[in-house]
Amino acid sequence: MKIIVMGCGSMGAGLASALDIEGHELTIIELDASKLTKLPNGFSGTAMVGDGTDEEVLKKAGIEKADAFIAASKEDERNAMAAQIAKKVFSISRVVCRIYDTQKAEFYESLDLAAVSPIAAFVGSVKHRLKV
Amino acid sequence: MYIVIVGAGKVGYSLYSDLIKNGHEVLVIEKDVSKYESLENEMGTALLYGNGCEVTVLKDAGLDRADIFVAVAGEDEDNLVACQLAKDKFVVTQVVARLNSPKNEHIFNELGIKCIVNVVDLILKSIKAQTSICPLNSLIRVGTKQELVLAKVSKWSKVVGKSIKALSLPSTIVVSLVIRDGVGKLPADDIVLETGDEIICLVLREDIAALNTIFTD
Repeated sequence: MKIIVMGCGSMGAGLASALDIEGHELTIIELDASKLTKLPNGFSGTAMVGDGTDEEVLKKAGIEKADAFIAASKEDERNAMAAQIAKKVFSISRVVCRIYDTQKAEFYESLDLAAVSPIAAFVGSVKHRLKV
Repeated sequence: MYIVIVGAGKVGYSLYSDLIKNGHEVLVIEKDVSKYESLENEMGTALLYGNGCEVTVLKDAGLDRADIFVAVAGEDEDNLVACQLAKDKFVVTQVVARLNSPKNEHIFNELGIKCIVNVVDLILKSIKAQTSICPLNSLIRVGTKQELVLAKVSKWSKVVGKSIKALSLPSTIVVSLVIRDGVGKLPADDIVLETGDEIICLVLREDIAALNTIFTD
């Protein structure tokens, strides 16, 4: 699959790297050029500096031919905006959005956007491990 | 009316001052601590410290009973998310977003935020209206595709001495009113345009450039 990841923090870089190893075609977009060093040496995808909420930047990243888009920056609002652009403007069917705030994540889920809250995921995981 | 504003910058603060003078109940939400502290004494309980893109903050702000919600923060993504929450979660009927980057206008529209104040566009229009850069001024948007524009006939304009009929305008440009010596008249086909005339036309937005060329000096 051709996958675009917005945000090259620990999570974005880790995600892009894992998907790259699995053989997917990755493009990662990051505002801050210095963060691209978080990608491992063997990363075979494309890394670009730019604003993932900007339509033109998304086009340059090849969004018109992408199969999936993941908004994984550290800012909820930027993620929500970029993910909605991918879904509604570019009609990408597989869009996942990282939303820290659990209530906001629930809200975007209600708008039919796959919103993953790292907090909710962690809580779920802890509860599962503790079997409570 | 109860009006909630996100962003206590110059725009948010000015809006607040104006609205309270008119007797409205206003609450401004600001997430920047230094901005908050600088206004805290003056605004008192009309200022709330917090992120206007968070559900809990909006709940504390009493958004359930707000009549109008206005997001005028400096970042478009904040205004978009705040407005989406206000409109779809708290069901505020009148929601207005400030748009900082003009290219995001159609994105806001597609994502359901239709009432937008395009700041850069307003400044551009104001500059054009006060100079002779452009003979056309947009007056108001009509629906999503049309605009009502005012064209000024300067003494160098190619249209001076021509009748409206002779301009051979496409059918998508409707001349609605001719203002001469401060008096508006319905446009007869044979009216001959003079220097100083102002013409109000209903046009498709895509035809504005063509109309501009017709009136260009």
